[in-house]
Amino acid sequence: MEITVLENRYSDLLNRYTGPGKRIIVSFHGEMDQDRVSMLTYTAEHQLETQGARRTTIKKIFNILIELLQNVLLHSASPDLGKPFYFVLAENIEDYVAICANVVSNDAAKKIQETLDDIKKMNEKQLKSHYLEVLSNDHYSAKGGAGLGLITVALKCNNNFTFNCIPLDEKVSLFEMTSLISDK
Amino acid sequence: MERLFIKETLNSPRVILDSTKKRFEIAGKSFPENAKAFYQPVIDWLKDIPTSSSEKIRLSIMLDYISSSSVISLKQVLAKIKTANTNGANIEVLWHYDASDPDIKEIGEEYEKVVGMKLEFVEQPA
Repeated sequence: MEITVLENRYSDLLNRYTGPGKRIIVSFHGEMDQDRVSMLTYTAEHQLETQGARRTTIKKIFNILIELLQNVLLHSASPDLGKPFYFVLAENIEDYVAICANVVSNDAAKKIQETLDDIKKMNEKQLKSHYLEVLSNDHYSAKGGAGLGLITVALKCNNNFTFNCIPLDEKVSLFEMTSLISDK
Repeated sequence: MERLFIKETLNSPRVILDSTKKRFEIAGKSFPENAKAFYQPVIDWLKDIPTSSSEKIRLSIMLDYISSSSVISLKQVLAKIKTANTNGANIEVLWHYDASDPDIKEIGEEYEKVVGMKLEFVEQPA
């Protein structure tokens, strides 16, 4: 069931970002590992450079992709299936859109939703202040994170993100995050 | 002191900490899968810094990209440097940033606030 849901949503996204004013820059559906993080981020960087995106925009997108993809690597919960995920970076009229989804435990999904709901309410100043507060804190998880990755994504896309948690069964959900990045 | 050399990869920076050649640098892109494990040898190397030596160490940090988990681990490296300096070591950190990339400079400024130590900012031409 997990794989079918991922495949269907991935396929829908490819259709959504194909057409006038839209273009898929990089997309992938499969299993995650560290080499995949490098491959997708460097491919995205190269494609954006080739099409003449601004250097500051490329850096913002690169940073967002690293955080989204490393979250998949570190926080996926699908031991029977590896770490299935999908990822799409597309051009949408004058903006770029980065979408990444993976399978997480329902407990993790609840925590992520709460964290992102809190982040979404903050303005830029509050976000920066929250970033410094988290960075000052010495209590990090065993995986080295502290929620700094999600704050980083929010800062880089000016809090222009949405997210979805779709329950797949009684244990896991599909977590999908979409960031919009302006090239202005 | 032992020499520490870590080869640069697509997702992790090169690390050269060499007292004999007086070369101290961390350079490249930093988004290893496990930043904590990656920077642990650097923290271990700093533990062995002689606190009675008057020799100045100038550590250049030249990073293009720093993932959030690397930001946390580098903070721990800088905190270790601050402790070593408090105990008598003489380590200066040169924080290099590209003139066209305000984000990397900003991370250095955040470290100054959070760690409470002065960095030497070095602007590289865009």
